[in-house]
Amino acid sequence: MPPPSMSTLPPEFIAEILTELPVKSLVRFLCVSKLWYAMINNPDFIKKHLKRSIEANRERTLIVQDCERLSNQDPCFKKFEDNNRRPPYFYSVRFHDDGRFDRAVRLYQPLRHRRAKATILYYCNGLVCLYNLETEIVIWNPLIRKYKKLPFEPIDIPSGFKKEVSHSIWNSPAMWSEFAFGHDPVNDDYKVVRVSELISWCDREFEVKIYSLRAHSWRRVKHKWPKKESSIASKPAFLNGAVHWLAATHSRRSLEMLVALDLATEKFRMYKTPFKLGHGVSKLELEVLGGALCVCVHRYMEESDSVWVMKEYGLASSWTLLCTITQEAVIYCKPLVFSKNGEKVLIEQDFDKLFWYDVEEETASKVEILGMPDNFRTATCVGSLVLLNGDNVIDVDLEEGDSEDLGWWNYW
Amino acid sequence: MANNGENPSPDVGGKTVKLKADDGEIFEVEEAVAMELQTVKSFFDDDGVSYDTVVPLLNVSSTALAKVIQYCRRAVELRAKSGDDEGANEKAREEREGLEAELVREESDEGIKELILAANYLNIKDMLSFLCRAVGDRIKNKSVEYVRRFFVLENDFSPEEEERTRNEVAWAFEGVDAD
Repeated sequence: MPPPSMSTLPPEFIAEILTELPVKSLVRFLCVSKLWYAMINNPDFIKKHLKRSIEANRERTLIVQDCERLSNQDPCFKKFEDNNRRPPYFYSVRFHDDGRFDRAVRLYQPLRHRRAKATILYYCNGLVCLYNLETEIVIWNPLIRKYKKLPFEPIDIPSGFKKEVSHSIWNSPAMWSEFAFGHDPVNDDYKVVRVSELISWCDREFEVKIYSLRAHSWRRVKHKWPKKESSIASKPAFLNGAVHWLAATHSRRSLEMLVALDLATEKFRMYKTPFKLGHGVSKLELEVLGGALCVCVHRYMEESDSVWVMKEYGLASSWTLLCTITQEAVIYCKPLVFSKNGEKVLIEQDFDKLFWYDVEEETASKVEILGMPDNFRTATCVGSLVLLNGDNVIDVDLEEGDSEDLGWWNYW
Repeated sequence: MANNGENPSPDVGGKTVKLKADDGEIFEVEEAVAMELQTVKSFFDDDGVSYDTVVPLLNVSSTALAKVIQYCRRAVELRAKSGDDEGANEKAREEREGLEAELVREESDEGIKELILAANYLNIKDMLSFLCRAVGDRIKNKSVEYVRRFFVLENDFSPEEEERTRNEVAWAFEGVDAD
């Protein structure tokens, strides 16, 4: 029997070593041999590697969208007027278990439209969903520089939809779409949800469609939007295989409902919440923190925001006050992640502040990151190989004359 | 830690097992430690094999075997220390991690490979686990050529195929350690 050598090690052992590696190494090692190429591309391996990344919070990175030239407006509405300037960049910032942040490194992103700026829609498991006002949507894995662009999907106006009388200036219904993004754990698929509201003077309809990354196509969701009188009133939050929104009736006098769409069954659920607008509450934001749904309540009369957590998913009575943030937000206050020891929360506020908030002491310590843009929004990623077979993000600037950047940009 | 095949004598009164390395050197180890090596355990699980039999480990060098025995001996001691006490468990875990780090710290690539092959042949699950992590750490910033040499792998891509993949993901080749 020949003596054992490294080349005769069992493949499970090699796979175990590969599971330990960061994504940049794995992408490079695709070139080692055909066997390694096949092992790294194997969907079970990718799933196992991602699971390890999530459990250990490996390669945690902030993906930063530069929201420059911003006033008190939502950056989604800012079209880029100046034709001679390139759209603002994205950046990646690695952060470590001890709370340290590396410097911001410029990152190319795949939605490079001359006039419409790309905005972060949502993020999940190392993937970031971007969209722009031209309704182009991409799913992007920034750590491996791959992406997939969604095909265009029209909004279908139902034939029986009652429009106005013919002399009205409103000939077609107003349409408004909200999007969400998340992971369907049953089918191991990533999905984009579009809820479109069609409004005319006398009728209101909802159309719900889902894009599946596996099928690379859209389809209509059969289950109807649960309450015609209620519209989406928050950004989406993905948790437990479902996307969630706060929804309110138009009079806004009712309690805010929590609407959930299960990505596997494609069915809606509704939960009551103890929150409502009015009585000093000016804004409610829905987020996910530490594996639970979280609502940030702004009270414009008091100088604080309170953060509530739904301790037991699905149980309306389990909403518990986590902490009160004495640094009041003007526009929004978004909790991102807990620190490793769970004592602090990283918070993004008002497009220009990032700080660690000590839950017990109720104190904030500002985070300084070299190279960070003045105005920003963030997404959080871990090391993932999902979309390894996607399209490559091309490192090319749209315009010439971008030489001011060649000095300091780093490959990463 | 001794690295020259030194053979500390076992505790008086415990049962021992004799292991023979590829160069004929005999190691006498406590039974509990020997049973960490699944291959040795299987050897004695067979009917009619007396504990006095010397276990021939033809594919393991005496250097590697000495280190393996050292590791397993400490691992067994640490496992005995941990119990229900969370503090004691945490301390034992830290000690074990220190032990593992020390085992691989000074090792050359050849040394690590020898340990891997020994742990694989002797079927020691915990040791294989941490060796995987150690190897991962060692190769993560290395070039493709380095990895091929380490794992003794043939490059079975055509030059065109390799060129295409390299160009597509050129960014992944930056900042790599020089060979």
